[in-house]
Amino acid sequence: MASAAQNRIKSISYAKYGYMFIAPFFLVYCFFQIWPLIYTFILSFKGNQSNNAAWVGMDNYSTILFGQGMAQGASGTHDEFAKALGNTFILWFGNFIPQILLSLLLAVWFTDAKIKFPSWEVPAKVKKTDAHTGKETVEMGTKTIDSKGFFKVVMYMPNIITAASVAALYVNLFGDSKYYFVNSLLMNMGLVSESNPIRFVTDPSISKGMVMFIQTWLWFGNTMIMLMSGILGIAPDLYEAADIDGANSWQQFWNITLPLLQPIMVYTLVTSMIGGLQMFDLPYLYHQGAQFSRELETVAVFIYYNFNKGTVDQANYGYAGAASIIIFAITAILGSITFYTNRDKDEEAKKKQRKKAEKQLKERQKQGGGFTI
Amino acid sequence: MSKLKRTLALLATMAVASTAFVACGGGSEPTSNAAPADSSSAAPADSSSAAPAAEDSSAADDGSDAAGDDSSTPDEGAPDAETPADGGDETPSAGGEISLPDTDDTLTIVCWTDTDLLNMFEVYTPVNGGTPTFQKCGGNGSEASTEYANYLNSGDDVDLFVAEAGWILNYINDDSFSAPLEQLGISTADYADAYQYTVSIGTDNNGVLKGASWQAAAGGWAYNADLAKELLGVEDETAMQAKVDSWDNFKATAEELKTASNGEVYMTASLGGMWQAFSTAKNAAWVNGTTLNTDVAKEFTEMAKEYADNGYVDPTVKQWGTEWENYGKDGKALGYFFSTWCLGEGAQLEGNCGAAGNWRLVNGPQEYFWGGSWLCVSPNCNTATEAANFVRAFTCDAETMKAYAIESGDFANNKKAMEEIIASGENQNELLGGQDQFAVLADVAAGITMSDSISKYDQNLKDTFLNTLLDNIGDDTDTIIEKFSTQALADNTDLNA
Repeated sequence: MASAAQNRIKSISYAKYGYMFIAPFFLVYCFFQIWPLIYTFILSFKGNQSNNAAWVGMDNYSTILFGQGMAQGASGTHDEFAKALGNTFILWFGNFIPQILLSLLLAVWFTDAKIKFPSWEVPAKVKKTDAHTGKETVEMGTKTIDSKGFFKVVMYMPNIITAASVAALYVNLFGDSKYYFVNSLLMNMGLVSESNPIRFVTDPSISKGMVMFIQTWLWFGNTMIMLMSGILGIAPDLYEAADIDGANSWQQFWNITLPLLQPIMVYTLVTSMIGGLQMFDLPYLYHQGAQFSRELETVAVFIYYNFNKGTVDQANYGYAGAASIIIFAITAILGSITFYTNRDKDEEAKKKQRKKAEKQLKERQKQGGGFTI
Repeated sequence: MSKLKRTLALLATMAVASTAFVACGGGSEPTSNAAPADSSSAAPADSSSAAPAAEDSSAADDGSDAAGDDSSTPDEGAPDAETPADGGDETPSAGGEISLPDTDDTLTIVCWTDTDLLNMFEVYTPVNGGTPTFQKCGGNGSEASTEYANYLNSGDDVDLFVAEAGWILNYINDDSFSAPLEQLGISTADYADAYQYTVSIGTDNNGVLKGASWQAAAGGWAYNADLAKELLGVEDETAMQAKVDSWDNFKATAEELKTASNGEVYMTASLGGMWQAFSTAKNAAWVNGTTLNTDVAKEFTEMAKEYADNGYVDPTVKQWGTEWENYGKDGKALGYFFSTWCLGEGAQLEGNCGAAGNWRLVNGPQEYFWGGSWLCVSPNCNTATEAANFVRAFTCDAETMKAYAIESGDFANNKKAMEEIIASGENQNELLGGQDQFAVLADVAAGITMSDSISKYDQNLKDTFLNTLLDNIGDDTDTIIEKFSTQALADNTDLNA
């Protein structure tokens, strides 16, 4: 028989303090994350412009996906969205493929113990301690810099510049006339005529190429660091064993690095896909003049434009909401496919076996009359 | 000890949680003002305290009629307290009664830029006293166009607000955002001296006057006089104007210029500028009811294509862009379409054309305006008398408007005031070689005609059209119009073809 004191102690639970402490986060999260998400769903079933308070059912979806809706411009909206979706995939593939190849190459080089990176002696101030007096003096000397670290930093560097600055930088370098650096250089070299500059910003295909290039340039450092950490996580004895067996670098890469890097590759693919399908900043910012370039319009730009267009009563909240939900669905489907095709098949098989064994055990127990043996 | 830790932890959590809400605030200052003033309980208390003071003056005229008393109370109360200088202007409007309340003593004007308002206050306060203040909302005109709606709906204190030409129609056609000027005792009759187009724009779809402008943003065509003399043999402004006084002559001169310069010099720097001038005074509506009308777009497309194909203008130049800026400096373009606000010190004229003073301004092929701002009244206005004084001072009163024009260099929306300034001959623009740009612009402003068939979709349609045109200038006219129409209808679900 427990005493009253023991009973009381048993009933003390510290859990409620825990809930109290985490409550603010969840409240804020509900207000600022969950509710906007739900509201986007709600908006996608409401009308546009002056009709924005009315429920229109699936009209926004049928307009965007099939070009059939109440508004007379429905097919135009559908075409614009289809083009935006196409642009999104083109821009994403166009930067993801070169980016992953470049990053993989660099990551392998940087982690390969057989490749020697030089060290650089650079002039620098060095502290010297006098052996007799113990006094510290600063004088010019040399310092050794590990070039590998230097390259890693330099390659990662573009990623820390904001996209807005990058867009401004590239527009000012690659502007469409002789007043911008690259075209003026090409004109001075006589490669391009002044009346017909290369339209890096306004030409539909060249501008797409530029955005792909800029995206690659921005993100390859980041991907490289991620792949490097993946490669460094592979046990070095595998490579040693391969070396002893006489495998060359290519065979080591193909048969050790690549298969064992798969989880990181899947992670990179999925994060890049999510980022790529939501690509907004560069396509929106890379233009001359007041209006974003229609040739670079991605789904995110489509959403922003419809949401933010004009003044009061001019925005198309319904289209923006429906397009957001559609791109969410596409991302979810593609993400699931990626995970499904890249799942660990051995682990899957083991799981199945385990389940089978459990089932058999149960069967046997039943046969044994329900008694536990 | 553990209590201390718990308290600290709780404090830290609350601090984190509360910072998450930091950005949610907003115009904090006027909120405190508005709260007591807007509530109905505070209103009678205020008006009753103001009433006895005003009754002294009105009792002398007519003690028996209570209704007459009420109407004269706000009108006469303020001028008595202020200066007699304004009294003269009050007289013609004695019939107009102020029907909005007078329960707050701070005039709050919502705007996105304070440049003009600060100049106004400079002129206004020494004469009229009072405490006009401004509340910024939105970082620029286009931001303000959406932010205003939130501000005006929020219940924060607002008496007047400044709206830009591009989107004023969205606000004056919505009674929840704007009240008729009549409720401040101001009617269309007070704007006999104003430039007519500003009144047309300030009038809503039902013919109610809801906005009044203090400026007329008329524009002319500025040209490089040295180039004109060298290539066209034009000696002075009169001769130049004769060569560009219609779109036909403008084109003929462009051809002449092309021949004389071997195609090196464009007639004007951008199609965007031409479009602004061309589109202003086209009386055909963009939207009839809810039907999109592409007639004006078609007309301009044909013209723009002709200019582009013949090399009269470089169609790749974006308005306000780097090329646009440099074409003037490099002598690659003979002229620009410049509005009044391009001609001041440090503005586009100086930036694009240099300070040598070899540029001149003429009327150009078409009277047009570019931008401009209007004062509108909020239905929540609770400083009615002062608001009325302020609007009257800067949109009706020639004396104040003249003082403002001299103070700011802005082109005031008052024929009398501008005529006086021009007659005095004091205004000489060094950038135009001492020419008085007001003389040209006054002429232009008087000639601008505005149709009443303007709609709130126009600005978006005009922008969409110009962008579509410039992106597809190589296509034929029908294709361009087709593309524009498709885009316009996709963007505007309210409209149909």
